[in-house]
Amino acid sequence: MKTLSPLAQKYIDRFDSALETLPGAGDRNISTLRKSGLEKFSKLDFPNKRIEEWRFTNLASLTKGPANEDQPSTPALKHDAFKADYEVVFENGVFSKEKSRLEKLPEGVRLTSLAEELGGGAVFSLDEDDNRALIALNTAYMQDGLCLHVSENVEVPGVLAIRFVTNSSEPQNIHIRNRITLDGGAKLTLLEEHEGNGHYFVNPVTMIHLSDGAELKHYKHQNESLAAYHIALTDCEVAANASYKNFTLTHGARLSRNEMKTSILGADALSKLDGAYLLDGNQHCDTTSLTEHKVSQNVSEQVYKGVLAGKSHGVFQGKIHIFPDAQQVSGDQLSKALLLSDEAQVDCKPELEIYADDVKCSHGATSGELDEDALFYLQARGIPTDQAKKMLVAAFLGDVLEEIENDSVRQYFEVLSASWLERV
Amino acid sequence: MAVSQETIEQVNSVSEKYKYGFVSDIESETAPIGLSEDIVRFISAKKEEPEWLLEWRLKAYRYWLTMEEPDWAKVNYPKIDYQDIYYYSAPKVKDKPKSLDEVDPELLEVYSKLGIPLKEQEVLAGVEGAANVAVDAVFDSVSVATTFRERLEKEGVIFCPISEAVQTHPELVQKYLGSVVPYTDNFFGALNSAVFTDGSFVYIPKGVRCPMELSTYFRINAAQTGQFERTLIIADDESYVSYLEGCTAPMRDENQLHAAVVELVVLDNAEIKYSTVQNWYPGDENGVGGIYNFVTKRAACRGVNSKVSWTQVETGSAVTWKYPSCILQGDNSVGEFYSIAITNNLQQADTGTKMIHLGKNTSSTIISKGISAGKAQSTYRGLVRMGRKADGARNHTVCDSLLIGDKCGAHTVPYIENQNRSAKIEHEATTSKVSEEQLFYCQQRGLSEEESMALIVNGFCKEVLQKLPMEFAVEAQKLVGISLEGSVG
Amino acid sequence: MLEIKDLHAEVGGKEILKGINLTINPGEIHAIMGPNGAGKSTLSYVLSGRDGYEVTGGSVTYKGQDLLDMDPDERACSGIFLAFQYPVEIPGVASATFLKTALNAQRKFRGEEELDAMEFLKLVREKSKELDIKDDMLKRAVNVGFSGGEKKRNEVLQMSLLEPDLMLLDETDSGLDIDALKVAADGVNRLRSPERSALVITHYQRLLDYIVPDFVHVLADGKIVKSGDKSLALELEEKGYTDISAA
Repeated sequence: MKTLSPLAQKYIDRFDSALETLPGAGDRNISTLRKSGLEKFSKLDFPNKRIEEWRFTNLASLTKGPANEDQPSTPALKHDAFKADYEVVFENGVFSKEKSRLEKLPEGVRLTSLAEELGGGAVFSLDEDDNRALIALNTAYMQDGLCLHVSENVEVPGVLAIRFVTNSSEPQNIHIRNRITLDGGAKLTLLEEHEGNGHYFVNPVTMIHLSDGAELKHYKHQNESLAAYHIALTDCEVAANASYKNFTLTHGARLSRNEMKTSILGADALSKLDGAYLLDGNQHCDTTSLTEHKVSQNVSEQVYKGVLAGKSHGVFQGKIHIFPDAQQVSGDQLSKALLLSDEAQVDCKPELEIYADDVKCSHGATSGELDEDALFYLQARGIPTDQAKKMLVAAFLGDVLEEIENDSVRQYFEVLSASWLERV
Repeated sequence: MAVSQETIEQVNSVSEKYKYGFVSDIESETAPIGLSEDIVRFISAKKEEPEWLLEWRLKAYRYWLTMEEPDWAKVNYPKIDYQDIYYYSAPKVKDKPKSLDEVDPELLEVYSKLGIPLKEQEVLAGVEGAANVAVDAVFDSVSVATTFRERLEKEGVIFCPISEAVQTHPELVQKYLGSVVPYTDNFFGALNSAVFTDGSFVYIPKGVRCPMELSTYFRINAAQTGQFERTLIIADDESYVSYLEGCTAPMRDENQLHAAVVELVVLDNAEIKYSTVQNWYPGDENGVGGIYNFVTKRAACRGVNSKVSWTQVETGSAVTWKYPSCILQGDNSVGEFYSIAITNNLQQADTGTKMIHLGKNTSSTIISKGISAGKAQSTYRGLVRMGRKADGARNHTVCDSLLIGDKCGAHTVPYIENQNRSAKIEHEATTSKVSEEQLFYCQQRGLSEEESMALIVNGFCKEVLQKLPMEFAVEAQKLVGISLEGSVG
Repeated sequence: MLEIKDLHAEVGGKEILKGINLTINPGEIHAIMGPNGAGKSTLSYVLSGRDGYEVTGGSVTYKGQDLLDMDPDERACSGIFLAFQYPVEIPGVASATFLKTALNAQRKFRGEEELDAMEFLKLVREKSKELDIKDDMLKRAVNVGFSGGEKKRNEVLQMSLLEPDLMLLDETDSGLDIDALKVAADGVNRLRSPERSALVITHYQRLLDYIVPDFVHVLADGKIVKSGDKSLALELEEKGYTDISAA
């Protein structure tokens, strides 16, 4: 038998005692599910660089032993909080009823915590064919999360914020499981925020289902502690006429991975994934997306931009997969990276896998430094070098931030990007 | 798209499906079937090789035994039984022919049937239209003829079978063989190092611009035989050579293995232009038979301002696994990769390039055109890496796929790694189909559907076709048409 | 105002300027003419401090200070303005933001109050009107999608806004039709004053019909080979560069 990584072994060793304390302990179905999750995970272990999807991201510093203690537990970027219309707060991975503000939520929105649901006999399942180790682990250890259901044709006004705040004096591992379902014609704007202090590993898994004509705008702001590991997986199913629009702004965590799998299941559906990652120091950020066009006549779009300072390492892997007979599909993807320092590094793998002929697909990837001509032009007008560079970085980010349709979120992300730039 | 009358005629002139599919009845001498240290020793002994080369082959063989066949490429084929292949097959001859006149006339007949000029007289006599090309003809495991050697020798250019170079220029072979593709590099490369039988050797001395195109023509004839050729080209300082390579094989129901290694070494201010028209038997429309083409091609641009340009037209083979690459070591060195890969019926191609930028101000260009028809799968797989010290390096990649029919697949898997901020990488890829309007437009002007398709596809490939030397470009254009036969309607 | 002494400069290891001597006093307009490749643009880049233009000998003194010791933005703030031959497109940066940032950086440098958005807008509108430039240009990204003429006009607008002491015009006339040329020249002429100087670099005499120089110099192979008054420009037009340089 092969040897598992120390962290995987730890998870396996303490599973039996954990089973008793995790929510849903009394429910045999839940225990069986958790066990099958653990079984799968113990076969897979944490992914290593020999696995194609993980060739650019090495989890060894997480899995080989205790969290890297010499890593300063720098607090994340300080900023003014976003003023949301409704707020769900999770503290150290546990739903906080006191801090959440949900009273204004309109009728037709059902919002509960996963712990509640697991205790109440809700049904969860693990896809047999899914070979993602971190989903299996999450299934075994999921502790809490958001369960949200929006009924048919309910349009939720304003923005619902979900805040995951982690303050850990000791290293801890948090496995969040969110489930978001929008019935036909429902509309929702979501802002998912992660922030924290200290050493921890957070593994949020989000399963989204959008029925016919539903619209979800899903904004994510990842501002974890600079000593934290953040490995998120988001799966979204998009039915006919539905649209999923995601924008992820990343500037936190020591190592983060944002893995998104979108399955387009109907005609006239749209998947739009955009994002910006801003990295400094030893940060590593991996954005991995898989967009599956399973049927004809739909559209996917992606634009990602990265700014890399210090010794940071950015990764973008994006795959557009068009299934046989999924005709009249358009899939476009663009990834751009700006390297600000000599030691920063970026790896990119934009992939097309196409089995239908009446399609239009493209991807583009560029990487390089600030345009010297532009920099000199600004300097020649009297703008100090430092300020000129910031203007150019802001301009580089400007057009991807433009993709954010919600004005208040866009302004919020613009301010966040600007304050990140000030700090670098 | 300009419709040239010439193109239409060329397309029209194509009637047979795979016109190189004939088998020649030539008596040959083969080694016992299967692979073992004894076979490696047998091959080495046949070639009367020095001890160092045998040792190297054996090391490669032993290393190969520890390796696993790669499975990462997007190709599927039944497991190859390496013990069910003949590793050596050579036409029977009493003595080595000393000049072309002594070459077995039946062999010459094969090449003339293939349209390969093994005659020097025409060119020497100034016959109009005779191609100014020197040819090394490799038949199964051995080189059977090399033309224009005297003329090339005058310039100091060495162009001969590699087995001969081992005898006549051992110092060059020993210095460079395996220096670009070491036997540890990959599974098929290791296998080739152990059992390679022949191939071409080229050395262009300092300051020489090779006066004619050099060409090697590979022909697999014997059944159940693998072809493992090894090509080594060295372009010394300030030299230039244009090298062409062509390949064909008979139609057979079995699959045959072709695992070649090509190594290019380019020194200061030198340039190699390497063109391939690969037309191995692709198998029939049901996917029966055809060549497995698993090839390692790599160039080391060691010198400053050195340049390598790979141009390939891949239309044949049942399965292609091939990534002609450039290691851009010398400052200001340049790497280019121009590729057309056409797959039809049940063909599969996983091809692309690697551009490894190590030196300052190195630059690379990649233009890849993939065409899939029938139930074929075509994949572009490429790597562009900018090393820490590659200040000011540049890459531009364009990778386009064209799909014909709704049962085929086209895939793009580029790896882009940048470790230097002053390096600039631009990559773009598109996938599209031949539009109904384009087809209709051509048909309305009187072209048949197949002609129209060939014409449009030729237009799609134009940027790459233009990079081929004249003689090959015409041939390649025709091939585009033939390869796509039966893809419409 | 500007004193260039025996200036030598290289680009990419190749010597382009081979000993330039030139003195510009306040209020004077100097024109530098010369064939392609003479080093005209190099001179403007060396004076404005572009990276990669390495000074290998000589000195440049500007308002009593060592110019070569200053960063490009310091030079700009001290009153040197380069009107680019090829103004750079900067996607994502709005012209208005760019101009306001530049103007305020210069004001701050001189210890003046920075302008707020309203004051700035008022000033820009005024200047645009004077130069007959539509102010919708301000909403667009810097030079992006501008025609050749628009780019050059934008340079002149920037110049009139920033009110430099020393204007360097690098082939401002190239690519301009006669009307655009007049607008550009008009912009420069409006700025003419006893305190303000200009160095006009051009290949053709045409521009000098509208911006009349006090002195004309011929630059050839990295050196000033001949100097004179405005009549020299006419002479050049007639005889061509080869004759003059040989003389």
